[in-house]
Amino acid sequence: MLECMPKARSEHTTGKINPAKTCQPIGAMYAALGIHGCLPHSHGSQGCCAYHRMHLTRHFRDQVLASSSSFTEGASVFGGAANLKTSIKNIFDIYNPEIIAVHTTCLSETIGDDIPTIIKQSEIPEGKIVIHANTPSYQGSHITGFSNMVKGMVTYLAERDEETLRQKRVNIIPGFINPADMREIKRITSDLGIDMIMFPDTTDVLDSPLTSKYEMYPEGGATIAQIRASGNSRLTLTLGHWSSDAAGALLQEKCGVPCIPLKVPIGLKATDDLIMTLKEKFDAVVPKSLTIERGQVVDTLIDTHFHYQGKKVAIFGDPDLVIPLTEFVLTMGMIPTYIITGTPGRQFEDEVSAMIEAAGIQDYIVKAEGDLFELHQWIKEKPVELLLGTSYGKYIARAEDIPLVRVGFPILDRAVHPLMPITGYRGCLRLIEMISNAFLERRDRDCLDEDFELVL
Amino acid sequence: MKSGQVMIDDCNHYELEKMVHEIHPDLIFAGVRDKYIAHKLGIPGKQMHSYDYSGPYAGFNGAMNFARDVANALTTPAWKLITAPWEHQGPK
Repeated sequence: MLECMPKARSEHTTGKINPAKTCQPIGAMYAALGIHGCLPHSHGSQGCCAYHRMHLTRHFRDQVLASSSSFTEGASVFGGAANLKTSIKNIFDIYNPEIIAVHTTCLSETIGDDIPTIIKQSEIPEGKIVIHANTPSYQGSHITGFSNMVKGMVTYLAERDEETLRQKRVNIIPGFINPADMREIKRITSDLGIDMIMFPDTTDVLDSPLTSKYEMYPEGGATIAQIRASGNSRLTLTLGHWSSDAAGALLQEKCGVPCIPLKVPIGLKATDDLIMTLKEKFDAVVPKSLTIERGQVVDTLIDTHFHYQGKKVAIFGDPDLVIPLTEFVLTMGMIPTYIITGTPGRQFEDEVSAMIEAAGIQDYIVKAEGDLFELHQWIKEKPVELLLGTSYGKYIARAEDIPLVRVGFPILDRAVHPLMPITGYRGCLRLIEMISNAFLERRDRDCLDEDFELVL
Repeated sequence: MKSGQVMIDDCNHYELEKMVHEIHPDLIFAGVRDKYIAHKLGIPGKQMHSYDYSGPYAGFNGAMNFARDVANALTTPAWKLITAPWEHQGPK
């Protein structure tokens, strides 16, 4: 596995080898699925759309429907305006969604198609809506695309149409996380007795039940009415700088809803932060059930620390997940040694460095806009004992015989994960279980017969 | 035995709890049945019969293992996170 990997470190400044990211439209498509009754539309050739649908479907193991402008050579030369206008007409005629969310592709961005103008010139039936986001993949990553589409939702839909803000309602922009994580954040917020609008919201869309009745537009998703009403909420919490802050800032500018940026609540401290922010801003009472859940996490950390404490770990994936994951492995007493994200942004390096140095660890490398080739070379030079990241880490895991705990997007070779939260206190338990078990499985596999223990 | 040192043979639960409240030990070495009681009292507990399935503790390398296990038990960050932030007393 990866036998040709050069052992000596070789810097590459142009291009990426085995990137730790994918392209903008995947994020935009995922965000659009978090609107109820929405058909995401890919303005480009069919290949893009097919690939994005495939990738999302493989991760969620649920249907991902999206339409395409179906560019051919003609559209590539003359522009895609005619294709988009015909698409919009056909989609409403045949598939009748409430809303179409158009995102662009590298091809249409390179041509320079003026999407807002084309939408204005399109035939849109009464009561139906078309929104858009520009998602050129030569910039940023799938997280940038996600952020752009969520920002598009605010641009097109959010409105301030009531004089006073709804005092007891919070908007939560959850970031690029699994439906189970969105569900967990909604549960915590509702346990605190606070009304909430979450958008985008892929619960009951990409984790929908099998009922023998096929729904093209499943029950879930934030409704257009909800996204519109987010302009009247008292506060917005944006979870994750890269995925959510742009939309929160725009909502503040457009509708005057104040915005507090937080981490995605992965780990004890980030979950504490979410609960304390909600408690203080809404004068909420934290129910005993949450205090118990939190106490169970502390109890489990104490009971299991010797399975993982002091172990070196490499973490890779999306910045809004990797930052709180780094914080949590520090809480677990592990040593984050290599931390990379494929998404650009110096702030990633600053935030991660600050956390690691506060824990008194000096020997580490953090890099934004990094790739898995470089990570592998660092590991060859100085190994780690655990990989924490997406399925793409499995090649390094096999080549170097290091256990891989799968978290983040995409996970293509394991199931059930989109239904199991890694957020909140419940998510802490799941992460501890996965990490602990990875080390124990290794021990059972590797130890001598005389050291093989029933009890561990 | 010096003054302030206690030795109890065949220690029962009452004596263990009493000892913790009076002596405030930083670490309790015991068996598996007492380990989790120590945890709930807020004190790290290590199993001395099974070494918590770690070890060996004999010899020079064993001493290194012992030191690592004790250091981990005492320093694991979760000990500082027992009280939920909404339970902290006093003015904001």
